[in-house]
Amino acid sequence: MAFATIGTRGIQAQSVDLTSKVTGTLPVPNGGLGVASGTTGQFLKFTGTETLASSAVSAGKVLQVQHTKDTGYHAVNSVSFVTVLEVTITPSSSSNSILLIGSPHIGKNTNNTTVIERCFRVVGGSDVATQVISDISAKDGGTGQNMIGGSSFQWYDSPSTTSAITYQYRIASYSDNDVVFFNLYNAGGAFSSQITAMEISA
Amino acid sequence: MTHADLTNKFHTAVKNIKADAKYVVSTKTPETEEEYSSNVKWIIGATENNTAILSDTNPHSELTWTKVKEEMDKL
Repeated sequence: MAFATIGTRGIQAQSVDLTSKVTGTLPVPNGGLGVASGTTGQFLKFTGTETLASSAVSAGKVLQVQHTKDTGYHAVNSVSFVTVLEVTITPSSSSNSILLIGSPHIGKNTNNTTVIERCFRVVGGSDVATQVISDISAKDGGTGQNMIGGSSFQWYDSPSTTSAITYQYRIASYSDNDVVFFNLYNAGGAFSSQITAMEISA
Repeated sequence: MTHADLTNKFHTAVKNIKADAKYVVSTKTPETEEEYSSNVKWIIGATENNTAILSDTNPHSELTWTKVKEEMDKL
């Protein structure tokens, strides 16, 4: 084992001049490592089994945000899905994650149906993953025009790609005996739905 | 009449004429023939993952704007 060398007059009363009087590598002391220099806001991290360095924390940071606000009205009377809201994001690294947040305004018309909600990850024009949101939104079991207003969903996705991804929010009518709505309104301008995609560093 | 009420009237009228017609109405519920042509897309099938295939062409000869409007006025 190599030991540090303490130079002449390196030891003074109750102190050791580590800065200028000690050369060589200090062994891991009894009690562990706990000293390093850095700048405000940085953290210590091991850069080897017995070495420490100051470092900024990069994992879990938001690298980019893409957002869509949609005020378009749609009514769908089919059990087949129709895209009503979407956002596109291109990850900078395939190891990063995407946090998708949506707040669509949905509802149903006067027959007994419900809104089926799904999110699709679309890459290169193809659906490659699906996030189930709900099969029963806006259900009231009756014949009222039922607007639940702002639904919401999240998807913490690991797409493993650096290709452009379009996240599409789609709706369908559960029993196709009546329409379901996206952004239904009484008067113009009184509605909006939004979707946000955030790239999170690994 | 609010747009929500108009919407209910439109869909009820279409359903009364042809119950199995599938479609998507966008922007606003039609009140004119021009809006009926531009705002309604017709569902003519679905992909293998059950996403609707839309068409600008109305495949239902029964569902002319004249007939739909006539039915709406009865409601």
